[in-house]
Amino acid sequence: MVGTFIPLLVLLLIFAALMRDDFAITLIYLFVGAYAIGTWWSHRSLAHISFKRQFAAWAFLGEKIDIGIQINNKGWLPVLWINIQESLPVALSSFPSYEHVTTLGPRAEARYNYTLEARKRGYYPIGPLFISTGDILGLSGTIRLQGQVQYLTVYPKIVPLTSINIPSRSPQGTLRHTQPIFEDPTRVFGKRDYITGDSLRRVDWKSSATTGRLQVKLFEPSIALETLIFLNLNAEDYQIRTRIDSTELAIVIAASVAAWVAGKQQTVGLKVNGRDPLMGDSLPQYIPPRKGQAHLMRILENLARVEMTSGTSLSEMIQQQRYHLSWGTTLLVITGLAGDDLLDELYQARRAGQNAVLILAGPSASFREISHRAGHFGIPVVSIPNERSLDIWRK
Amino acid sequence: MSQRENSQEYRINETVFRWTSYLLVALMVACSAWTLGSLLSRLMLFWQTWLMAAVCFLVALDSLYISRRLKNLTIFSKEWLITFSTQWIVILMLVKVLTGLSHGVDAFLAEIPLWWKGFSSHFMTGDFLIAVVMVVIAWFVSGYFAGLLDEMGIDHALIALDMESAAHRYELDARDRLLSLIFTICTILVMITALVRVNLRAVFAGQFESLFYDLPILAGGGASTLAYFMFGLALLSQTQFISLHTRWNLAHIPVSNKLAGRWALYSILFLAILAGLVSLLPTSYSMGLLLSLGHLLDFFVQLFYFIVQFVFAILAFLLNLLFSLFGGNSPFGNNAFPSRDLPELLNKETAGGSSLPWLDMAKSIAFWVIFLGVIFFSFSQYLRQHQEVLHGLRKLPGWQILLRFWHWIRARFAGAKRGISKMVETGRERLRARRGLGAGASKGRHLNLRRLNARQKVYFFYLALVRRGGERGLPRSPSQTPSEYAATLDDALPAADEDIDSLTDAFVEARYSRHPIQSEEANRVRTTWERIRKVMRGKK
Repeated sequence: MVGTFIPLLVLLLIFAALMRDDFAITLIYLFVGAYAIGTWWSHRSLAHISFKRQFAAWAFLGEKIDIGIQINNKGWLPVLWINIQESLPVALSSFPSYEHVTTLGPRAEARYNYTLEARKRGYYPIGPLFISTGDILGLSGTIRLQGQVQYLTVYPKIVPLTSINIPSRSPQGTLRHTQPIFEDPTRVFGKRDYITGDSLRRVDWKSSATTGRLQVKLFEPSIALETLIFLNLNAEDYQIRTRIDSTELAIVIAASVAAWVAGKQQTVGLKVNGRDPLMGDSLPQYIPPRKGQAHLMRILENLARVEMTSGTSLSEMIQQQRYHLSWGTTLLVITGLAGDDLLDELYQARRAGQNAVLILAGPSASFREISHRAGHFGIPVVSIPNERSLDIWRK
Repeated sequence: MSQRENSQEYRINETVFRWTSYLLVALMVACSAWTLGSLLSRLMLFWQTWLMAAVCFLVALDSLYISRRLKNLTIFSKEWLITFSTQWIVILMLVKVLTGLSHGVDAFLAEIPLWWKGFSSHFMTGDFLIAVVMVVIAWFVSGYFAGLLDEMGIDHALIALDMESAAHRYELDARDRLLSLIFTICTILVMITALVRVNLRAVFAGQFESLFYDLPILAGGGASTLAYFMFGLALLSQTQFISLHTRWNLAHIPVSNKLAGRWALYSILFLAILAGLVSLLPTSYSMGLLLSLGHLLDFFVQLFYFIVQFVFAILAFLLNLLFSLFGGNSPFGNNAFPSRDLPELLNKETAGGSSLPWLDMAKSIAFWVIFLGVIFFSFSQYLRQHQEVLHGLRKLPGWQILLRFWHWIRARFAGAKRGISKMVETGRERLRARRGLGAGASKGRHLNLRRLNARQKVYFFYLALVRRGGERGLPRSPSQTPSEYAATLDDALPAADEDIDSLTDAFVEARYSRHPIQSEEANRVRTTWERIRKVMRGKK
């Protein structure tokens, strides 16, 4: 735009040089002043603008997320106009961006709010926020300020489960068990008369003294359920036609099972062979089995972020991981298809004293065959072709 | 704001801005006519400048108003021809009446019967024909302005019919054309104003010794050209708003309803400040550039001499004092360093006998500094926006040497600036320390986490962990490595052991690796720290 008035400026300079006239010099000042002051004003006012985005960085599926943007003009110079443009994740909003145009007085602030809907689990970038402005005459172009991106985590869907039959060999936990071999000496549920062969350590001396007959304590069997969920997000291990839905279902199963186990005050861990955007698109961080609600949230966060990938073998991952697990740990493997190498690996785990359960997520034509082969190795197989099938664990 | 409210607001703005823009264009046309009239009045003594400016103002308003109606008619259709011709007959009659009345009512009434006797000689008089030419120019220029304003978005209906992208393209193109038109007319007006200041009679007579008139700034078309420029700037501001508003409206972007009012207010303030600032700047000089530079240099030399003299005087005084204590004679007499007054900006002798007051010299120096600054700024902006010119200049021989010299100068200035900033900062720190605020201020200084880079953020969260650990009775001993301290914390906070390990690992990576730390990693560390903090709070 400056080029437009350069010929005029040159003419004025010649005029000023020849005639030494006040008029020409005044006009030069006006020309250059209009451009310089306008440009300076827009640059200066933009430099004093700061903004803040406020929102809850985590949300459950179906929740509405209120996002507030606060724009501050920290300077004494008014901002003529600013166009606020915030890029939005398409999966959570009907519009690709949120835009608003306003003006800001000296040391003034403006607040804007918009709402996103947590329709799909994921790790979504909110922003960047672009703030653009320009000069009053439009002689210099628009200038823009770019803000930082913040992230929103939408947790996966959790189906409330009531009863899952997960085998365990860890004695003395908090879960009741039917096998008397897992009797827990801290859980006394009754007494009976002594019969020959009972261990003297079971004798309840106080009751015996009271009743005058030897009484022995009866212990309730219990187990501790230490579960490690192996979630397979290798694209090749799912049928092509239902790949996306099946992997999403696998994530829902993993989240629901983790919530159930954590709800039972048991330890649960997670190992996924997917892609984590937070880890620079490499494998997600391994979460070892731990108890507690905070730990569960961490698992859910990971499950919210993970994405399908290809070329990562589940059996290799299990092989590397199971040596670090204690005796009696349950390996809950969620996958689309199970090959011989995976079944072999799970069998090795069984032989090492760990339990293995295979859950097939999504429709699987070869369920019978897989179930038959897994039966040989003593590995229980559950097929969950769709979300409704989770009802088998809700009765 | 709903779409409907947005549209209603747009309609109100449209009407206000349409009439404001029309008024500005009419005023610009009137100013142009005034400047042209100033030149004509030099050539024709009977010419009434103010009268033609007023006629052109009315004709411009009429043209702006009627152009919308004419646009809706088919060109050369019956209706178009009737509208157009009746319009022009009225205008021509008005021009004739006004030019006739400018010579006096009696003269005009005496002239009317002569029109039938000799139409070409008595009706088509010289001043009438010149006035008609001016009016025709004013009519068409105003019509062109009206077309550009409509293209830029004042005609909302026209824009709404168009496709969004096409409208945007038109609007950009129209704005460029409007700028060119305003500046082209301004260039012509400057040339006319220059001609007004030239003694044309002396030129035609071949007398070149008194070539220019010494006119005041606002005389001889100066005021009208300056007014044209100010109205032009106001119009640019208006059109900038309307073009932006159109663009936002087409993109369905909600616009604050305060914006229109504020824009008008800031436009007036902007122009007032600009005018005020320009009126304060020096526009004349009594000394040339080299003479001003010479005086400036002389002033600095004198100032330097004065400082040196002052230092020597203090030294001499101390030495005299020392010698007098021992009863000896002072090696420096009282008159060894004759005292001098502070340097004057200009002595009568240095000005070569001419009695220039210091104010004149200051004004001349200020003028040259500002004037050269303005020229330098203009051309640097031009080169910045025309990279192809810069590219061509780079190929010129000797350019590289000039460029290197320029970079050297800039580096020196930057170094000096850094040095001064450092000195100022050191001075401020000293002052703070004296006031006893130094330590407290640095301690209480607010740390803006957003300004830290990813690596610094990781440091921050780890140090926060150490600090909070200390507050919870788990201080880090100076001999402990991060891993050892993590083990201590793990034992005390088993619920957060993984997070503590993760944060410690992240810190070790950030502290002892050279590869860049990603912002995602910093975000992850923040999340980890928040979890640890929750556990720590629960532990309390």
